[in-house]
Amino acid sequence: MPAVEISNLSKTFRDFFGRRRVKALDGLSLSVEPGEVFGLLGPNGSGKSTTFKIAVGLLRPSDGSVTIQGAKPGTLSARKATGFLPEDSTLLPFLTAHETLKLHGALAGLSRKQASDKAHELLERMDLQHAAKRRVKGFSKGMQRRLGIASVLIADPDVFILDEPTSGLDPLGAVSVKELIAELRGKGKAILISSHLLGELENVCDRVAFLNKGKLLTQGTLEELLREHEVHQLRISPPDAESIQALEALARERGLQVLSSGAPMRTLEAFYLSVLGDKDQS
Amino acid sequence: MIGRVLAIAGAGIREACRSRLALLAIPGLVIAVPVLAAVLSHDADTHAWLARSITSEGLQTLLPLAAIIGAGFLLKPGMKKGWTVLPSRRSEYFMGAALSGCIVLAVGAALFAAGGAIAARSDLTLTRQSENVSKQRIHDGQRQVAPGKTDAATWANPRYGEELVLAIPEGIDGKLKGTVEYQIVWTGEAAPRDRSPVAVLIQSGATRTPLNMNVQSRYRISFEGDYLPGSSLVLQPTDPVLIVGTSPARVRFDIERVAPFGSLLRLLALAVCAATLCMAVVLFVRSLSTAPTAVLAGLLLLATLTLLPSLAPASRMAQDRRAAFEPNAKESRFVADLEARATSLPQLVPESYFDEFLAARVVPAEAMQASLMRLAAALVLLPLGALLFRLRQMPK
Repeated sequence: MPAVEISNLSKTFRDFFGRRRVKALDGLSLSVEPGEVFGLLGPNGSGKSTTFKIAVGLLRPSDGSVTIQGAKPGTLSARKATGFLPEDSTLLPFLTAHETLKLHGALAGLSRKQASDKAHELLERMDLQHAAKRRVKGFSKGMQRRLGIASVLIADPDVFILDEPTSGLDPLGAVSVKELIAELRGKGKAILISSHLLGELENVCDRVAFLNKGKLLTQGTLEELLREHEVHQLRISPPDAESIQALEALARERGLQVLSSGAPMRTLEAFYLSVLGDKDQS
Repeated sequence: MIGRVLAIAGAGIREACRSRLALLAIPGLVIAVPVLAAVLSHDADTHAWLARSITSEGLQTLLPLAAIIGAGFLLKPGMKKGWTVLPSRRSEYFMGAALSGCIVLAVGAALFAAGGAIAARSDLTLTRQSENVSKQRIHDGQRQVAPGKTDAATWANPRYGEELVLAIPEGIDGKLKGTVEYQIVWTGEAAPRDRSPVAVLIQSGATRTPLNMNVQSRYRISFEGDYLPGSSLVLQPTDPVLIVGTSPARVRFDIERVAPFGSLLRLLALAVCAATLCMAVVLFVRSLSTAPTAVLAGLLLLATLTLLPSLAPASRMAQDRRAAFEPNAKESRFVADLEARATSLPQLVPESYFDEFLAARVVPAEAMQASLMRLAAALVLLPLGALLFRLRQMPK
């Protein structure tokens, strides 16, 4: 059974008089299996957040259906099985970090002691132990985001719905979230994720779907969607100029077109992480 | 489910306790009555009256208003506030929020009433009502007596020399003291002339002695004098253009003095339950609407159940009187029904109990029954509101 199954999902927002205003989703179908990270991509207004809100029971579909481990969204079993991290921070500002996690733990059915122990563990994991007794309203956006992720983790759900999980995090924080997602995938959790930063999804997703104006444009594995079958890239080391010229000449001789040749560039994120890693070591 | 509701209620109470306002509100509520009574009074009697009056007004008027406005903003269904995405049912959040609201309301009212108890330095009077009210007149040298009604007003028309005879209950010795509330019907033949349209006398056999009388309000007088065993009280209409009526429940005789705490507790229970009903109505509306709409609905309920019963064109006693005089009056049935319905609407916070307290008299125990009725109504509304809130969509 898929962890999340969306079939022929449509949502039309209507005004007070029932007149049709916006068709936010139009016949979307997809499924997420346990142990899979599924990325939902698309521009603003493409229907990603609406899909998520329907999946957690905040909105009702106009047509089609969503099931979370076979249960209807909004029911208690679906809510308990789902860890939802919305795009904006939704923490209660007057609670401390520890109290926030304890509340989420209590709502997930943990005993007081279990919730408290797990809260400590997660605060440490999210590097928030120093702020355990501080109220959330004084937290930076990144800290709130990390606490939000911890509050999703405390219930140990089987399905994670993460809307822009790395929003507001520094690159190091973003990497730790990606590592966390990979770890959750390893534990057999199903993860439905959206992000505007395509590079981030590329690193973590098994499959992705592209939405525009509520319609599914395409979906598939990264291999299926990203592999360029009409070109070939050869990386050699060390970059010896003579050998490179010989290889290029050989390619031309065989009638092939050399599209690019040169030292590859690292991504800014990889560079930032390497610099930060060097600094930490020194 | 109960555990989750309690966890959410706990978080809601924490929110209230940690607001900046709480630092001012907690001591402010306790000292409000003692400070106001001390500042505004210049003698012990005024102080006692002010203490009762401020406590009574606070519980009767301000508490339901606070409940309505507070309840309007109690639910935070927007995602940004965080409550909507908690791993619980939305109906559980509704019930948790309602529970926290009720607790905060009750604690606030209790703190305010505690201030009232601190400021109330005088005891209250335990009273007993008249056993019956009858009507008498002297006709051709003969005294004619007609039995009155037990649960409605009996009327005396001065034009025919009629008087009301009020039976004095047992347990009174020495001094006779008490109050009479009456209703008047103006005949329209001339302008009323006296400040009070009645005189109070004590009648023992053929002997009639006037009692000392004090006009407390337009429809209320107090009386005091020596009690003669076996005597009865006579309410004599003195203005020929005003017909006077009263019922046994509105004639009260003082029995003994007791501490005010029990009465305060009854008023507190009544006010908290009425405020909880207001809160339930507002939350019920809020489950599907915006905060201002819900507050407006609550205010409408408060206005309906507070003003309508007393704004009706004529009170029930006056209607009785008119019916007695005009049994075949051609009046529109619809209008007559509306009038009757308006006057028979239950008051949200029954004035009579607060009036008793204001008049330094013990609040009767049936106030608790009235409290339970209001609480029961609130408990019916809340699950319905929770159900509606569960069905509500949260687009933002």
